Amino acid sequence: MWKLGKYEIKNRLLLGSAKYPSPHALRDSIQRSGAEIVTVSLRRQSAAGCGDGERFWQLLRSMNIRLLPNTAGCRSAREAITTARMAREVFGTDWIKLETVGDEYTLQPDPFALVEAANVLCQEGFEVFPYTTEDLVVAERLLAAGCRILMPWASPIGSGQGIANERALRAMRARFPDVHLIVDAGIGTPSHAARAMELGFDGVLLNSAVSQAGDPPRMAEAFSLAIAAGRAGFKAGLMESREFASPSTPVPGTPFWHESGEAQA
Amino acid sequence: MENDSDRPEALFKIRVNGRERVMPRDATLPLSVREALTILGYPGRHFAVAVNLHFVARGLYETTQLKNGDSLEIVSPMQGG
Repeated sequence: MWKLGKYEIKNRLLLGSAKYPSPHALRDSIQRSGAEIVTVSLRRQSAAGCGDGERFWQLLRSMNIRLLPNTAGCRSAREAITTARMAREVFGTDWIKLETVGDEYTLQPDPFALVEAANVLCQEGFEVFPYTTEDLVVAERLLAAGCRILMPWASPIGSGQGIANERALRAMRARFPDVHLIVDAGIGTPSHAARAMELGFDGVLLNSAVSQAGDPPRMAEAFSLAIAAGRAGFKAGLMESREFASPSTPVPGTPFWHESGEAQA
Repeated sequence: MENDSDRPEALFKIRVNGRERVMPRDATLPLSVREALTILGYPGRHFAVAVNLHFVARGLYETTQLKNGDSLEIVSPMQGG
């Protein structure tokens, strides 16, 4: 069981709710995967469009899930802080996935705005899930701000590239052994997610890899299985890799073995 | 004699979700967030509000006054990654 804040979570897949072909596909993906944490957002609504927000809200409420609102699209600490406060009122949770866009091409976070916002929000009692890079200095600043969770990217949001810098993620895991680390963004395949878990990460957050799959509910299930497999592998203790071959079958007693090491003619 | 309310500068204009809107109110008169939401036709309660980039809690809609030129953001639950 994964104790995250005051909650105990069984499933280490965190699922995004965007870009599904239909509300049913989203609902079925959540149910088939068993994901317990789902990210959501706040967006401008016209008076006429509030019905869509209401319907989405009712869909979420009908499922037994924990919501993780995001500050996606915010470009300053002020925007992110205000969005987080609005999210807390609307969604009734103090969880917030903190995002501060620093670059339109990579959508990587502005680390300065991220830390500034984290400082304010942690003091206000939010449980901040900061979307960050693998930068250890930024990570230290976020933890000093009061964050108990870090969410480094695998690669840019929606890119499906998988883990771009495995060494850096390993270093982060080794540096912060007691911090909840969740790989977020850039995951494309179940094997990417399994790899993140094999590295010892605590969870994986993904969206496009499921919502844009040919069969989102089936893919969501595949990810859930992959994440569980990766976690089990990590807990079982992965073997060390070697430069050279090392025979699995015992060498003593090999038939036809000659003292010189050559097979007999 | 020209009527003051016919002059453009007397109109109460605010930006709502990035678009300029004219409120049926003289710019010199008060306008609360609650009144603005009613005028704009926002129903129910599953939305949140910010004025000039600052969050306004639901319990303060009646007492938070808008000024001419203020920026109002009204947001609702939506899908997100």
